[in-house]
Amino acid sequence: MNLANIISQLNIDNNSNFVYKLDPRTKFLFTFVYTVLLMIMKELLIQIFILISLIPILIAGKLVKSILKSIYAMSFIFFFIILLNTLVISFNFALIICIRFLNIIIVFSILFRTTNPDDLTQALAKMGIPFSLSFGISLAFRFVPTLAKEVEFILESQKSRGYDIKVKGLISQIKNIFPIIIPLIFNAYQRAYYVAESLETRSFGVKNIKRTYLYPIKMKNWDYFMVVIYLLIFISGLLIHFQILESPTWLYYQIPF
Amino acid sequence: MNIPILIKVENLSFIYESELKNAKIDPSIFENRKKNLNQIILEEQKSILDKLKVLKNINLQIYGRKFIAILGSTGSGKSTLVRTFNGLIPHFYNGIFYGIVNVHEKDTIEESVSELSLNVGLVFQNPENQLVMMNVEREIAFGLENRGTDREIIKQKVKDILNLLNIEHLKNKHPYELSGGEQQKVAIASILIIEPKVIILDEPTAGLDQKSALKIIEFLKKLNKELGITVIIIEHRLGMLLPYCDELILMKDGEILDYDSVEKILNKNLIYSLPIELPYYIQFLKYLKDIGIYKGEITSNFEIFKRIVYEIIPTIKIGENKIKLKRNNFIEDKLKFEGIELKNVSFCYPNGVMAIKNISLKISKGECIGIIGKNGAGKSTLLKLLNGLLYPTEGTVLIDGIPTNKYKSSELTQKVGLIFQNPERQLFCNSVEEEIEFSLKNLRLSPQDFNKWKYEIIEQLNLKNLLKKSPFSLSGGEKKKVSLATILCRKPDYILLDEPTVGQDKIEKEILQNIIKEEKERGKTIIIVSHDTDFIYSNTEKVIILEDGEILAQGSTESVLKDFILLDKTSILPPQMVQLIEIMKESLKGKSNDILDQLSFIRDFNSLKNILIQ
Repeated sequence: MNLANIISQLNIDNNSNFVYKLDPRTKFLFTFVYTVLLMIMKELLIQIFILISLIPILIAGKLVKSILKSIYAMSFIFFFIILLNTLVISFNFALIICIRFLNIIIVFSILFRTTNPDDLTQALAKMGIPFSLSFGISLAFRFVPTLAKEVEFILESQKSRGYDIKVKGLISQIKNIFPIIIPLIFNAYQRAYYVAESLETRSFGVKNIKRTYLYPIKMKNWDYFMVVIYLLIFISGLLIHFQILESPTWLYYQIPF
Repeated sequence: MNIPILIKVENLSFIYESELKNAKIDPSIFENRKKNLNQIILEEQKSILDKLKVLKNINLQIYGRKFIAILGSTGSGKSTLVRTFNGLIPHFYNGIFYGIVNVHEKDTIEESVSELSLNVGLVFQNPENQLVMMNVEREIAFGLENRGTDREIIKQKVKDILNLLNIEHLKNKHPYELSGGEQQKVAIASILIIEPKVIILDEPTAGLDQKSALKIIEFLKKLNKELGITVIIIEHRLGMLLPYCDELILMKDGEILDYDSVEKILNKNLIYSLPIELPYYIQFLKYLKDIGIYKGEITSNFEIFKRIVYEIIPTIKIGENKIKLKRNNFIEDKLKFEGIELKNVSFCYPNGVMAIKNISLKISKGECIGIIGKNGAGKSTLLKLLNGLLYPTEGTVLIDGIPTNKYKSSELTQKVGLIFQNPERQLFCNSVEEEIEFSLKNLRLSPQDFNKWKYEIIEQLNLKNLLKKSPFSLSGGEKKKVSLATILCRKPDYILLDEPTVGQDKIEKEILQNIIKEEKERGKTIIIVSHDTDFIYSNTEKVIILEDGEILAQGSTESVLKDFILLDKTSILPPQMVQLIEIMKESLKGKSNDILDQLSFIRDFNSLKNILIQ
């Protein structure tokens, strides 16, 4: 992935559509519900149902294209998951693992690609995590392109003194990382000091003051509606899983090979 | 009007904790005794500690509403001093702190950094490290949000600040999308919103092109005049800054040598003996005074200076010591062209930005060329195209008649050595010696040659004392030297320098200049990319101006950098030397052409001095 791509994905436009406008806390709940369900459900059809239920959100969030792109980029991994699991266990199991993996990618993409990291921080802070901790997340997002650029610069500087990326042999390959990783760590370490200095001079983490926000996040009617829906999904999912609710046998269909 | 004392420093000394550890002194013995350190120091430790002091017994009183510059060579303690004003020292950087710093009648030891920051705003050198949010508007609001200011008030203030700095259009941008100048403006805005009484800037314009830098300085002056904010600035580019300053602080080796108004300091001898790069017009005036031609005061006001030149220069004899005229004769149209040739070269980055647009260019072997242009004009991209870090998307780059993509990349990087601006991006070994060995290792030399080449470069750059040191423990200037060594040891035929003078003080620049001169004498081709037009003017024979990926102008250094009409269209300010000569020429209007002709060929300050000796 090149830099321009990373940046375009970090530039989250606030005022585009329904999914973006949802409160980050609603999206947290969504992520939580789906992650738990995906982990406990071992049935092929249920995984497929979950996948189908995610598609409307993808369309509403205009994420279809970028998701397809990342699936394409990871097609290699999918191929191996299917191959290995079919050989070792069964095709049925391989398919379940594969779809589960796909679902998890989609769920987390929805969370991270439609939420401004600054709002994510704010949501975490409002859920009781100290701001100075949750701020780390948005800071990490902020410095992704900067560090990516830094790697590029370091690579160029080393190349111009004869550094060669491609070497043969495992040990030389490991050795070959040092000319890149050491300047990177050193620079990141120094940068951390500068960033901390700058935060310090702007009253970051002052005790006894309640922080305000220029754009406070707020639960709207839509959010409450979605929260109810997710809770319903969650409860019914649990009921099916623990077989409290009688479910039709075709739900447990397995591919026989 | 009675102006109160804003910053008061008494007997301030400071040692960084890391320095103590290096000297194997246990810093814990100083804990909780920040204030009465002298009593517990043993006599033998005292002399060691004295050596480690970054700040030595500083006394200072700064009154409000001033525009102050702190001058001194790198490592003289300027940055450390300003960090004591807002409490970063001793609260953020640990160490031994002795003395009192009072800011706005608050003791910096007792108050926290955030409390002190209400009065003292600090803007750092690299703006990118100061921007921590995902868009500009939130960035500016960050300081107030942390202090729990009401939302509506923040909104209003952000709007006002955006207006004040004329950056409304950047409101929703990611900091990464901004240019260097814009980033620095946003960084200043995010400090200004706290409404400090003092704003301190630690080399705010390093890495900016001249016009962006000038705009920042002009803006600071405006703040100073209209809002009464005290501005304290650390800066190497004095030519630009000095006319705006009220007062100067001179520092050397952790001590304050002098603190006075600009006019008074310029009329004392002290500043001229320090390694500070004063603007040429002031050096010129000082020289006139020293040889007894000029008897008045030395001034930082450029208009007054002009008047002085108009009065004095016509009355003195010029040009009795004839300087040798060196005309550059370019040898072109050789049978076999040796050198760099670009044929209709374009380069487009994967994100669609056209960095280079259809450039054709010939650089023959042995030439020394300067490339100038504003930030983002495509200068660095051009350099990368020459040594094969990038390949043109259209057209061909020929080095000695062979296209770059026909070379093995190891061959090409040896032939064309590119020296980057930031040495910290390539140092990674345990010692300087290993750094040089790493660069030579890839050349597959015989052991004899390997050692020969290694010792040649050590000799040439005088690195003997540094050899066993860790590259990370070196000073900025030394690091630069090592990074030069890592490329020059490979004996490239073409030497490309990307912004070699950024952040370098006068002495370091002179060392660099000598290295370039030596390499030139060996017949190497040198290409320098820089914003420092004076450096380009005194070191190169040809200049290329790039603008938006195209060649706007090229020609001999004199003809291009003296073309005021041309330069006016770009973001390049004419070199100070050129400005000085033009003023002298104007004052001599009507005199014989011979003298004017001679003046035209002056490149550096020493030959200007020679021409004035009667």
